[in-house]
Amino acid sequence: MNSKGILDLKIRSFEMIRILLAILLSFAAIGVLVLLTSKKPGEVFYWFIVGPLTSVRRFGQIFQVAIPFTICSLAMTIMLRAGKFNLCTDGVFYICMAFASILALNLALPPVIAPIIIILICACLGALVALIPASLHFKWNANLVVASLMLNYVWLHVGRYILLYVINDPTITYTGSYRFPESATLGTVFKGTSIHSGLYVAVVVALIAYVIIKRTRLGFAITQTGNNPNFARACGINVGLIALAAQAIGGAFIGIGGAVEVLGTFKQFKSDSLLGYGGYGLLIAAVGKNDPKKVIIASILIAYMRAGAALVNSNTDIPLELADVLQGILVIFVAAELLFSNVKHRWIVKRAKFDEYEVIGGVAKNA
Amino acid sequence: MANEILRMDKITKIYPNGFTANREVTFSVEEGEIHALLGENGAGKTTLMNILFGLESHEGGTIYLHGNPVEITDPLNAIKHGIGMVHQHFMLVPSLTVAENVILGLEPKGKLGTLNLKEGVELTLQTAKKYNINIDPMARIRNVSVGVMQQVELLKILARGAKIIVLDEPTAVLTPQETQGLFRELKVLRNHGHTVIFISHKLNEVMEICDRFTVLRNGQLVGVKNVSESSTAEITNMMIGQEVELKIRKLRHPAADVRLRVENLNVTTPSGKKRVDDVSFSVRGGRVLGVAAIEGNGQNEIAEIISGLQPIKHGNVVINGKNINTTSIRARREAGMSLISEDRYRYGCSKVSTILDNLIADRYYKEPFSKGAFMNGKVCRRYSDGLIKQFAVKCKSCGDAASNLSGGNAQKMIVARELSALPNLVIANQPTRGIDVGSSELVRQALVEMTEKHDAAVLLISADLTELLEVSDEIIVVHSGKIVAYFKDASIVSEFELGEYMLGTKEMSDQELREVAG
Repeated sequence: MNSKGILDLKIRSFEMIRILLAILLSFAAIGVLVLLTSKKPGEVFYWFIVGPLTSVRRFGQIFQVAIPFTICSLAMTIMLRAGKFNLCTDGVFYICMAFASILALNLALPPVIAPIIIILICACLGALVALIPASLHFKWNANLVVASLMLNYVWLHVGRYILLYVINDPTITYTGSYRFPESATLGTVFKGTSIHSGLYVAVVVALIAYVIIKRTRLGFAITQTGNNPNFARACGINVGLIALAAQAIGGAFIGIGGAVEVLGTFKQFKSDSLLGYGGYGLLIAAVGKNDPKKVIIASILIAYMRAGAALVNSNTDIPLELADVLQGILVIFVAAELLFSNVKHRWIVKRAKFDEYEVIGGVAKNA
Repeated sequence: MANEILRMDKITKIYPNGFTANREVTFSVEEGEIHALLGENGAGKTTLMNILFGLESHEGGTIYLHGNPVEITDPLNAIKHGIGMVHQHFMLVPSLTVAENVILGLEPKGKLGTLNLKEGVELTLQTAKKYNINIDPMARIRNVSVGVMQQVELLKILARGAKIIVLDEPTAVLTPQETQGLFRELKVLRNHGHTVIFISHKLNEVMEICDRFTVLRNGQLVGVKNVSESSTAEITNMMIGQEVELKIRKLRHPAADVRLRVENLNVTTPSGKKRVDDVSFSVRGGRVLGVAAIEGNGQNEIAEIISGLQPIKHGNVVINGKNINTTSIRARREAGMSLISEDRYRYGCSKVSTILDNLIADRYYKEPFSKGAFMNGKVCRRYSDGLIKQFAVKCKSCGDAASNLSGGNAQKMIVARELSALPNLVIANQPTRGIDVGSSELVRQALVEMTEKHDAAVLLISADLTELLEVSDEIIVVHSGKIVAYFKDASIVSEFELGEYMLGTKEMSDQELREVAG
C-alpha cells in the first residue's frame, strides 16, 4: 500500500520533478560553457546561484525585476488563453511608461493618490492600445502577430517623441525627462532594498488575474474560446467579443506594468528603446503553461536568474549574455514536454498494475 | 487448422493517464480469412489495431507474423511487413487524382528522377483490374463519392503489397448498395489470399461477410468463434456482458405544434454550385424527422444553418413560430435548440478542455453554475458528476481532459450536455457514428425519450439507415441539396428503397413532395 501511495505522489508531482531535472540539465550544459570560457568557473557559479542571496539589497533585486515580469507574463497568459497571439506587450508597455511620465510631471496630486490615479489611467490606455491590433485582426482579418509587432514600432517612436520633445530635461547630460515629484513615485517598501510599492500592485494584479482565469464566467469563456473556438461558438459563446475582452484585460495589465516600472524603478522617463518585456512575458507564460500560479512562480524564477546574471556580469569575467544563453537552454528543456516522459510512463505502468490486482481481487505481488 | 498469419500474443497497453486499454489480449488471424474484431467503444479494438500498425507502442506482449516475432515501430514499418490499414476517416488528398493518391509515397521515377505519372496510372489500373475494382484513375478525389474514396484507400494499400488489411468501420458512411460493392471486393481479396481484419458495429454485416470473430470487452479478450456457429444475440451478449433490447420501445403519440419550419433554404458556393437547393420542411413536437443522404449532399449545410453555425443567405428558419434568421446561437439555444454536431471534435467538444468544462459550456453563465460574474465550482462539479453517471461516460474524473475519452464516450458526453438542456428542438447530425451498440442504443433511446416526455422535435441526420428507420417517424431523402423523397410514415420504407433515392436513381414528383412543408 505504501509504495502505491508514493507512486501516486510521484506521478502527481512529476511536472515539478521534471522542471527541477530540466534546470539541473541546463546548468550542466552551461557549466561546460563556463569551464571553457572562464578562468574562475567556481566564482561564476557562486555569483550566479548563491549571489542573489548574499545581501538584502541583492535579494531585493530579484523582486524588483519580478514585478514587471509577473505583470507582463500574466497579461500574456490571459491573451494567449483566448487563443490570440497578440505581441503588443513591448509597445503598450513603452507608450504607457511615456504617458505615465507626462501625468507624473503634470498632475499635482497628493502622495499615494497620485500613483494610484496614474496607474489606473495607464490601465485604460493600455487596454485601448492593445485593442488596436486586436480590432484590426477581428474587423479586417489582419494577421495579429504582424499587426501587433509593427505597431510596437509606432508606439516606440511616439514614446521617443514624448521623451525628446515633450518632457525632456535639457539640463541633464543624458537623454531623459525631468525627475518626477516625490508624490508621484512609488516609494521603497523595505529599507536597504530597491523593492518599491509596485510589489503590492503586482500582487493585486496576480490575484485579479488568477480570479479572472480560474473563478469567473469571463475566464471560463476565455478558456473555452482559446481551447476550441468552433466548439465555443457552437455552444453559444460570442467568441469575437470574448477574445477582444481578453486582449483588453491583458492590455490593461501591461499598462499597469509600464506605469509601475517608470514610477517605481526609474522615477523619470529615460528609456529610448523598447524594454523587451514582451519577450519575457511570452517566455514566462510558455514556461508556466498559461497557468496563473505556475506563471507567477516562473516569473520569480526567471527574475532570480536575471539577478544572478547581473552579479556574474559585475563580479566575474563572464558577460551578461551568458544569462541569455542559460535562459534559452533552460526554456528549451522546460518546454520540451516529452523530456523524461518515459520515466513518468514507467511509473504509470507500475501504478496501473496495482489497480489491476485490486480489480482481480488478489493481493499485490510486491506488497 | 489453416495457416496462422498473425498472432498478437498477450498484448498490454497502458495510456499515459493510467488507463489500461489492452490487458494481455491475444488476437490470432489465419491466412485468407475475413476476421471481425468486435467490442464496444473503449473495449480496446482501435488501440490493438494501432499497435499492429505501429501507431502506438505497447507495454507487454509480442507480435508474431508467420510465427516469427516482429517489432513494428511505425506505419512505414508495418507496411513493409505487409500490413495495411484503412482508417475510419479517409486519408486522401482531395485535390489530387485517384492515381496520384494511390502512388503517393511510392512514385515511379522517370529518366531524370521526375515523376512518371503514366506509370503511376498504369500501376493503379493494374492493381484495380487484379482485384476487380472498377475505377477511373484520372478522377479527382473531391469529385468522387465516398464509396469510391474507400476503393482508393483499398487500392493504396494493395499497391503497397499489403497481405493483411485492417478496415476500421468501413461501412459507416456507405449506402446499402455501396456496402454490397465493398463486400464483393472483400471476397475477391480473400480469394487472392489476402487476410482482412474487419472492425464494425453492424453485426448483420459481420454475420454476412466474416469467417470468424474475436470479441474484446474492457480491454480483455472475451472469446473467438466461427461466425457460422454463432448468432447476433450471442455476439451482443459477449460484447456487452448482458442481453440488450435492440428495439426501441416507441409509443406513437399525437404530434404537438410545429417546432421547426425551414422555408426555401438555398446555399450556393462562391463558385456557383448549389449545395442546398430550395429546401422546405417542418418538424412537429413529439416527432422525429429523419434525413437520409449520402455524405456531402447538403445535409450538413442544412444542420449548420438551422443551428446558426452558418449564416442564412436565402430562405427562412422558424423555431417555435419565431423567425431566427439573424438570431445568435446563444439565443437559439435559449429558445430550446440543441445541436449534436456531426463533427465531434470541431463543434461537439473541446479535447483540451476538461470533461466538466465540456458539460457546462452551453450553460456556464446561468445560475446555479455561476452567480453574478463568478463560477460556482462546487455546483459545476456535482452537476457534471451526475451527468457522467446518468449517461455512463467512462472516465476517471470530471477534471480529466476530454482527450482521454474514447470516441464513443466523447459522444456520450456531448449527448449528455445537449439533452440535459431539455431542448424542444434537437438537431442530431450523425449522433451515433462510430460508437458501439450499447452507447448507440442509449443515444437513440434518449432521443426518442425527448420526443415522448418533453414533446421535443428531433431532426435526425444519419448515414445509418437501420437507425434512421428505427427512430424516425417521418423521413426525407436529400440528394444534391434537394429533397427527392418524403415518407410520411417511416415504418413502411425499406433500406433499399431509401438507397435508391439517396443515390439519385429515383426521384419523387413535385406532387408527392408537396406535403413535406407541412
